[in-house]
Amino acid sequence: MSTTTTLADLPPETTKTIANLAGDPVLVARLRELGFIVGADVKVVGRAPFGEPVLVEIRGSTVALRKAEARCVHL
Amino acid sequence: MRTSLSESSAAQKAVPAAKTETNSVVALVGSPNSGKTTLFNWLTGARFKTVNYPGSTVDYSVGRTQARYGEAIAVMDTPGTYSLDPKSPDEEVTFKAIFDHKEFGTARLVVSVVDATLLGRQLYITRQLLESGFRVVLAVTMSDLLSESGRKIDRESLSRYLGIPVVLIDGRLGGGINELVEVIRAELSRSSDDVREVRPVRWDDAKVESELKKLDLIASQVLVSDTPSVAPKTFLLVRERTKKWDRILLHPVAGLVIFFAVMSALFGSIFWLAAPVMDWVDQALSWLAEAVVNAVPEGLLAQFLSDGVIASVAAVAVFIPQIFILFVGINLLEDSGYLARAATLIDRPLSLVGLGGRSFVPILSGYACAVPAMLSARSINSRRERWLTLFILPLMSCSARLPVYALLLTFVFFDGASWAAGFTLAAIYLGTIVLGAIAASLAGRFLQLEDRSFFMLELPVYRMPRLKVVLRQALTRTMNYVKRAGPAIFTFALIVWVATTFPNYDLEDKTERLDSSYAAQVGKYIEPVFEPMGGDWRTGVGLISAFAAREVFVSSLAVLMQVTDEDEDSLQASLIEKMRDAKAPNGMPLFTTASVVGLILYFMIALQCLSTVTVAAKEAGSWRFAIVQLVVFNIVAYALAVGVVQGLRALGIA
Repeated sequence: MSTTTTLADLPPETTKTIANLAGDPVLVARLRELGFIVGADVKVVGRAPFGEPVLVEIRGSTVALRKAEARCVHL
Repeated sequence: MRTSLSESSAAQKAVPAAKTETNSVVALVGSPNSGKTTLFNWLTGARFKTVNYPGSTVDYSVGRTQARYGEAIAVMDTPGTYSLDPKSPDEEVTFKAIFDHKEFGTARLVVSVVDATLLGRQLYITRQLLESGFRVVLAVTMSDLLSESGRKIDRESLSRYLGIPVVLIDGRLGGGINELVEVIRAELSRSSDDVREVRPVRWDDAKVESELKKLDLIASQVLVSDTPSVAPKTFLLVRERTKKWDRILLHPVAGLVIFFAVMSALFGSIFWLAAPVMDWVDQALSWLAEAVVNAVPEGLLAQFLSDGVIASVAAVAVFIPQIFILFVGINLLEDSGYLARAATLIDRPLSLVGLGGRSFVPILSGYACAVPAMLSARSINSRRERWLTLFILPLMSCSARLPVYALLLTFVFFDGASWAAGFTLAAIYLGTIVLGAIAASLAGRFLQLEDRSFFMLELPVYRMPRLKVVLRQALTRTMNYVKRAGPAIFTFALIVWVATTFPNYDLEDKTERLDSSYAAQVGKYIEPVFEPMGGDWRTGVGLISAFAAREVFVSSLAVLMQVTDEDEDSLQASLIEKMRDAKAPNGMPLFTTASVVGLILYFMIALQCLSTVTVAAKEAGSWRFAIVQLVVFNIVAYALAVGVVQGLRALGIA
């Protein structure tokens, strides 16, 4: 596997660009529909209590993702 | 998924057929929170019917445009979806409804509804609709939220880029609706030569990415400054406001505190706001029953009308206030944007027992009634989570159990402080959450079904809910509930009346009549079953009659305990007095602390509602599921009640 980090490991308030999407095809398809496409900027803006879901800012909107879903987004 | 559409066909028959050469409709399609339902409300006014069943996000409506917009056009609202690639049962509903609706066929025209503040992403489904061959009109909602940040949409350019008409809608004031109707009308009257065959598109990853990038570019080009001399703000004010609110409302500590406060307020209002209204309903119907008795000559007919029909109507009617308030509460939370946050906050804890954030609304609704709760479970995309949610919903203490708890707790704490009863009631409700968690974990072990679970929820911007829309939607949902659950409750209540009245209906003495009734005969026959849980045949008949609706237990018990109308005290007080005096066959008191605790436990767990059973069978797509659920919950309830009663007695607590 590559050493790229995923959205699940991104520290809060840091903006990074999506390099790749990989994982369960349905999860990846839904992520795309929500705006997670290669080249888009993402930023973690917070976490729900108990650490999950992660709150992510993507193209002007906020999306709540479980860690497993955030791991599909490679930066 | 197979279940979602099969049952809708019956409901759709009630919808007036569109007076067009075909029977087809104009469909509104858009992402969740795109303002689609508000637009639908503006278009149709009160002229719509909700088809399918009520539920938080999965009901959809068919209506006709209001008279003020000229000749009526049939319009269909659909559940929100992000794409034409459905990933949950409710998205499947939208997909089927526009491509191949059982009654309306393929939609004549689709109004693609997109949120102006999320233009780039939401235009995606517009493109899919176009490529599928639909005639599409674009309605851009929430354009009012752009102007406060000094921006607007250049609709001519947008229209040119997409090749379809574009209308801007102001969701607050209803601006643009007139124009939208005119555009729809013009599009419909266009010659049909250029209509292509409609068929779903399947895009590969590369196509999806390139489409989304192209749309992003289009969105950035059509979003322009509304006054050329002034530079627009680089951000949208509404997004900034939303972020600020989210820092508090989704805060690990403050967020949870607020969540519990909001939920307590909702539950509080369900009980305390509804209580006086329920009393009025109760009083009005007693008054009506009395009036009937006075007007109709004494005899079977008068009995049938007052004790049979009106009492059965009352069994349905007393729930209406609670259900209505619940729907108002859920709609307010949904429209304000908070519901998505609540689901986010609770996702992790629910995941631990095999559920998820999307199970939250069904569980919440379950505290009013399991029927609408099961219907709202359709927005759960994982079949496994949906199945588990459906399974535990009957454990949520629905409003029908409240009168039963009220009676039994008053009995236990008759001489005690009133706070003790309230405290115990709260403990019962918290207890059902624990029971639900245990049941979900246990059921999860036996469940062979594996399905991917995902959450991925877009958090909408916070907006002030529109009270009128909220109230009207709550009313529609309540009416749907009544239509759905009413006939079953009413029928079972009538059956119970027949069983407790015949064969000796002409006996003057109510007690003798009941004592020799079919119900009593059956009850006495199966009395040994109820003995271990501290009951006798009367408890047994009461429990059997509760299958009509749980609260019928109280009224049946009143009849069984020979509470007469002549009593000066309130019904409850005289019933409790009779309960204190009642003796078991062995001469010991029938209702004791132990036996009443056993009854409470039984009511907490047992699945006694036959309407729920039929809905569960449909929603799970399996009668086996519903029957297993019915049998398991009743056996467990019985076993635990017996265990607790015997245990308490062994400890010396009668």
